[in-house]
Amino acid sequence: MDIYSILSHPFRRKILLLLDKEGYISYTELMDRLGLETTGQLNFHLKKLGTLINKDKKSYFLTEDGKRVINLMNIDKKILAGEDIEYLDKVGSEINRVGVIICKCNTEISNLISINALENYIKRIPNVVAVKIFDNLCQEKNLEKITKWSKDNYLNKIVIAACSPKTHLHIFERIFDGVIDKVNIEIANIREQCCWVHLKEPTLALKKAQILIEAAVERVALQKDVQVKTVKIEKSCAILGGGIAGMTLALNLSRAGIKVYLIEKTPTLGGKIARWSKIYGMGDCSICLMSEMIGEVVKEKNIEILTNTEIEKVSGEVGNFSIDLVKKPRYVDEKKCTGCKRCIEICSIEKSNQYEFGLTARKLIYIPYVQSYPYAPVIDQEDIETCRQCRICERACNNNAIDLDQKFEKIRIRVGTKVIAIGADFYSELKPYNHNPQNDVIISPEFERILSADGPTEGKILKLSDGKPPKSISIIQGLGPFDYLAEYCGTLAIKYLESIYSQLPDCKINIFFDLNKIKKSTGFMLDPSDERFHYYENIEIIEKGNKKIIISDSEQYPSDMIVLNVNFVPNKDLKELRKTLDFTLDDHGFMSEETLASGIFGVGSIKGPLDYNSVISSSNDVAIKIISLLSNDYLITEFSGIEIKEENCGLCGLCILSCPYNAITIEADKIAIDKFKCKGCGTCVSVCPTNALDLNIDTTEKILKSIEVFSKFNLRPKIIAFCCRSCGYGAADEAGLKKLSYNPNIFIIKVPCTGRVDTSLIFKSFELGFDGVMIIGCRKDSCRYINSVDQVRQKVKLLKEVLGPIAENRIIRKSLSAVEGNKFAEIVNSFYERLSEEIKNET
Amino acid sequence: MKKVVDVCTRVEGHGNIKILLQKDEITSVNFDLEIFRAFENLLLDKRLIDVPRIASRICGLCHASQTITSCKAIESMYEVEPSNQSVLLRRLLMIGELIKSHSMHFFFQAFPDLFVILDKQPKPLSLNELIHFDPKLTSNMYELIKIGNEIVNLFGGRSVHLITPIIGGVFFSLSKKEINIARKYLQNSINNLKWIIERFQEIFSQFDPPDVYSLPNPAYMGMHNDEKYDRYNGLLRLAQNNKIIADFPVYKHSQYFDKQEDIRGIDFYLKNDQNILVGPLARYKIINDYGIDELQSYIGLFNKEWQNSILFSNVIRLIEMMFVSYEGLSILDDTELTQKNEINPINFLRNNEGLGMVEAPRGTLIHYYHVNKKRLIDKVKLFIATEINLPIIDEILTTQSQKLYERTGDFNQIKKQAQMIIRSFDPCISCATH
Amino acid sequence: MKPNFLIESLTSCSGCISTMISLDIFPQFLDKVNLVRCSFMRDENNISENDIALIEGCVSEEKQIDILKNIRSKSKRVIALGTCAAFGGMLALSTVKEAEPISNYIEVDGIIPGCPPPSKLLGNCIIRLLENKEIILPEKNVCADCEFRTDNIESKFMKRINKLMPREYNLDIENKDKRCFLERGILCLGPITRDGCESKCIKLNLPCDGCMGPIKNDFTSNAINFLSTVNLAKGLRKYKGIFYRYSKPKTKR
Repeated sequence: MDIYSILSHPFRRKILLLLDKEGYISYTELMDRLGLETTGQLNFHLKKLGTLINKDKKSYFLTEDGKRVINLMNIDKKILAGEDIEYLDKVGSEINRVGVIICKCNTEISNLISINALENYIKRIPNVVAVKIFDNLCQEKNLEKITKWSKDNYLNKIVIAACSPKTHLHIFERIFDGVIDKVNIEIANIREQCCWVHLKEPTLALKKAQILIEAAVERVALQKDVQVKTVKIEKSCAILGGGIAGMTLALNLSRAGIKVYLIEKTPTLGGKIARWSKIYGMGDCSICLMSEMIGEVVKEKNIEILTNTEIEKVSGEVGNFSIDLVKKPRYVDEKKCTGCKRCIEICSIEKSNQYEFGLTARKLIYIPYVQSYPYAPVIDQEDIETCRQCRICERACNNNAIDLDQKFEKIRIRVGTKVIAIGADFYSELKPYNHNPQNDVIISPEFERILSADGPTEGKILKLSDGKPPKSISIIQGLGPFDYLAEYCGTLAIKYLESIYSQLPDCKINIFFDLNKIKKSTGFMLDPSDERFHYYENIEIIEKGNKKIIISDSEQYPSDMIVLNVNFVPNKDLKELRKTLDFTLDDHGFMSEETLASGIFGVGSIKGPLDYNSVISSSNDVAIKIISLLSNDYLITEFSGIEIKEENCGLCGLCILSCPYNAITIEADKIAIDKFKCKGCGTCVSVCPTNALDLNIDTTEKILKSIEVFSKFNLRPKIIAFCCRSCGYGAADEAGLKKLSYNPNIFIIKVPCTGRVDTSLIFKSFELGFDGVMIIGCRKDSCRYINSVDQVRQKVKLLKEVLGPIAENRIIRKSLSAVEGNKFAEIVNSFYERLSEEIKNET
Repeated sequence: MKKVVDVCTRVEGHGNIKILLQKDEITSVNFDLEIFRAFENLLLDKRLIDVPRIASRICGLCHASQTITSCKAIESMYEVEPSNQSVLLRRLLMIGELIKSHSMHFFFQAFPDLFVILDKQPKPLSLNELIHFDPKLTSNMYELIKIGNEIVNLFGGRSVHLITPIIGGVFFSLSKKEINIARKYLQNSINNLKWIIERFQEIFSQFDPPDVYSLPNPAYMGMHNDEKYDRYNGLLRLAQNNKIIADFPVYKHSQYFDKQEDIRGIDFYLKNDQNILVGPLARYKIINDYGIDELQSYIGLFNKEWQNSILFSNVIRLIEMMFVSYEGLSILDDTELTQKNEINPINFLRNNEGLGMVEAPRGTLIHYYHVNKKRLIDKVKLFIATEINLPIIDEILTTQSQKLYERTGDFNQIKKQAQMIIRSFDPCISCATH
Repeated sequence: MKPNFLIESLTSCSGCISTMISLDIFPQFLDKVNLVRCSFMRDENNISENDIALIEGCVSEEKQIDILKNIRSKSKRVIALGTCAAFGGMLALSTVKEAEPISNYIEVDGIIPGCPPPSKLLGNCIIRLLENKEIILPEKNVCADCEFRTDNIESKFMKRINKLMPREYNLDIENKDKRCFLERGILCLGPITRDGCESKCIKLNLPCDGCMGPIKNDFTSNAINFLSTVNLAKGLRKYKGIFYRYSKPKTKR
């Protein structure tokens, strides 16, 4: 039959075009696409098409002849196809066309196992349509070859049998960029976790590699579409805390063109450093430095300063948060106020001044300190009822700037990212040290005030008890709840020494350090021969008459003045803030960097006791991160995490209990997930008793399928190992990189986090004939998902208690770091030995 | 030795008839229960609070009796008494259960057989024939099943494996509405039964039951309370030929019968080695008088041949249903029932062993538990009605099969006859395979 | 043409079949179908070709496996009736007897769970079977229509769970404690149990016993997953009465 008569009918043209576009189409799909109702019609056309098309088990495709017809004619498809061609817009097919690439890895793999045997096995796996072998896949020169190969074979999914995904996944993803979706690339780790660790057993290594690849093919075939989300980025940033860290960051960002909201809880910018005498190594008095910086901040048009303001609610996602703020009334209109202070002079009620740490008194209406910004009086919230009864200041103000009936103001801002810079608090449990400024036992902030030119003694070192200069000063360093000394303790000691020496050269100075804390601190250097430094194991302050004596390990040091250098402790507001902002705390209670959700940052001493320089440099680091995040116009995220089937959810709340990120909520009898909080650890999936939750990429179905395929390996005892993707899997890779050998009867399943492993997976493994189950996760303090690793520990513990000895011997759960490859190999080998022993005993 | 095995059908559960042959002579015919579930083992190491609901799963027909017996046994360990309302509620539950159990057995199992036994039909009616044999009878019987079911459902929380009976009472507070519904049900039940008994008498009473089914003078065992019919509270009585062998409270049972742990079967220590029969017929023979003239007059309609036949238990079953319906009505009239129900809390375990007994629909049911120091169960004995009846069933099976074999030598007939004998005893296989 | 039904009892208490017989629709059911085997109601005992086989009870004897396979080969659809057939049932608590769900041996086309199956659910399922449709089961857990449910996760899961039954026997419906059982320190298996029972136990102020069985996985692993996240009293941690209730995992080699 001649081509023209074949092509004369529009249906036949459509069939050819469809096959050209999509490669393989099943019979029923063809019926659908063509809108045909009867099979007879389609059969007729298919028959007419003759040698141009061919048919395999499932679907029709173009023969070489058919392709040639399409290519040779090179006709305008639109005209050929007739009037409407909307069916061409639909891409993707239900049919899995998986291509497998085997990388010989420069003979590293091919030396041990026969690539031919591997290829033959893989070709027989259903869904696999093509196999290609490369000597060295990770080289760029292969790029074109691969693209062509995958297009020619109409591949929509790829399995790469090569090295660990930890090694080269990003390269592979780049190779297939635009050809195959990221989620449809699966790696069979036949180098680190097979060939390199079973160098002595090539036959078993081949068998294992075959099974590993088969499992990868089965897994990728189960992958469904993944949602992609685009967020328009709001080019602004909210900074919580107007101290040195917040202001440095604000300046950095604003100069990069980013709108900044600088939110300060107190009525003034400046933070703690504004109250210090000077900063060590900067030569300047710190308040001068601060007021300069405040000046710069005020000057920046991009910075909006919101003092006396607190955060109420946060919603939205990274790139686009909406934050509700509450501005507390100041009771003084900053714009009308001239700063004449008449109101302060006339006010008759005094209370202790928190900005002088209680060393002096202030009026109820007050200006925190001379350099504060905004420079206008303020009345504290707690005093307003008292003031409303008096109102003398209101009447005294010439400009009518005072309004005692000012209301709370609600502000909503939209930002792309948020930063917490609220600093730390001082250690305040000072009872054992008899802290009492009136008796000259003072804490370091108070001493800083004494040293400051604007302080209660105008910068002169005087005893607060009698106003005379002290003849001897003792400084006890690093008082606080932690077992280490903050890095700045050393410089602080030197700063105090210098300050005292410059004023009172004859004053006897003793500085005491806790010996135990020094041992646990790193990078802490002091001259041990300096006789002014003392190292104690026990210290005590006693008072004899009006003399104070420090007893340090039975030696006595009489002191006129004692300075208790108190450590930074975590800000007491942190715990409250955790509820609105999304972060976790470390072991000491400071903000933990690793677990920050995306779109939120922390700077300054919120993350631990830092000195000035560290604060500045950490602010700069964060500024770069924020600028790079906000430099995009859109944030495109391929969501990998939890998907919810509401129709299956009974709202029991177990997932909420287990989620380390508080990403799941129940609102109005509906379960909801914050996709931007969710990090995809899958801990919730492991507890969900209905089918309401599943991960969208590491699905339960895939894990079960892997176990099923792995169970084909028929040597006993065989072990299944669930390894978390950061540590456990890394440790297994590390064992491979070191070419440590361990027994081949172990199969590794990569899970996002071991918290995903639930009891049913363990039972399923036993049911399918595995003798042992290993769960290898992170160490407790370094779990990428906060406490997920702890949750699997609880499960295994209970499981062992319930099942008793059977489980005790057959399940092990270990914590490894990613560099402990040798431990991994040891664990596998000893577990294998133990299980073999048991099997022997049974028979 | 040759063995012939046939599956027993139209019984509740799975049972076999095992015929042992030696040199062409039947040595014994046994009713063999192939499955054994080992509930004694299942209850080991369980907390007492869990036991009643596990025990309930022994049987899906007499679940209420199992639960209540279990509760009673545990209450005797804690020495707590359920409140009066709780006792009344338990009685109501047992009434509902009995009506459902008896009517189901009568309709699906006994009734079709009676036609064959009394030569009205050549073979048992098939299910369809049975349903269409007499539509009114069918609908009446069916309504009875429903009534039993609904009464249990009403007071028990659901119709099988009850929720409300717990240790210390019945976890249920009932209102006027429920009482009215139950009263309606029971009145309907009485009306239906009147019709059914009269119809039964109309169809069958003129026939004499064949000798095959006559009882070989067993000792009857059952509960009575002060010579009156009572299935919840009372003494256990053994009687034969209208003479009392023994009257004893349940804790003295070991003088008369006992059970080895983990071994099936109950050993009776009686002088003459009589077989024991429990169940509705035994309950009647123990007291000989229901105390309601109407019921006694129904019994009077059947002659002596009937009264000595196991087939008479079918009649008694109908009459017993009617009796408990009357009993239920009087309970519903009790003003105590509507008072606020209270459960006596269980706090101190006073005895480490306990016994509970009730009369289940198929006969005497006794649970015995013993706990260890951890208060977990370490010893269990379950005395279950069908198990008590097994020796007498086997005896009748053997003698009657031998007779029939001598006469005809036809195994098919023997099997058929054996099946009907077994069914006439209404064995509860679930219970017996506990 | 009436559909052929087969009803088979394996190791069971006959509670499921007794529930079925007492359904409102049962007389119509008998009229509409042709029962080919049902040892409760019929004499003939052959396993013959049938459209739907309802199987109650668990597999505890080897003999039953052959029966099951025979039934499977002659049935168009096999439905597990009740928790025993579907998951193993109460017998799973036994240490000497096996209690396996029929799905361990044959392919099952559907389950009707419950110990016994709730009348309403069973009735609906049977109607659907008569119409030759798939069985529809609720896919949520008991919490979904629990009247005591609280969304306050803190108060719900933080309490130490040390009781199997409420101790305060307050039967006053008006004044009963309306808090979630877990909040009261009482073990309630509602979260890991399939809905469909109209939470009857909970309405009577008794905690869920788990008789409807799990929705996914097996009962034991769900119980371990669930109870490892809450604060379970030490005495209950090793108590098999909780973890093997209604099903036992297969752990034998």
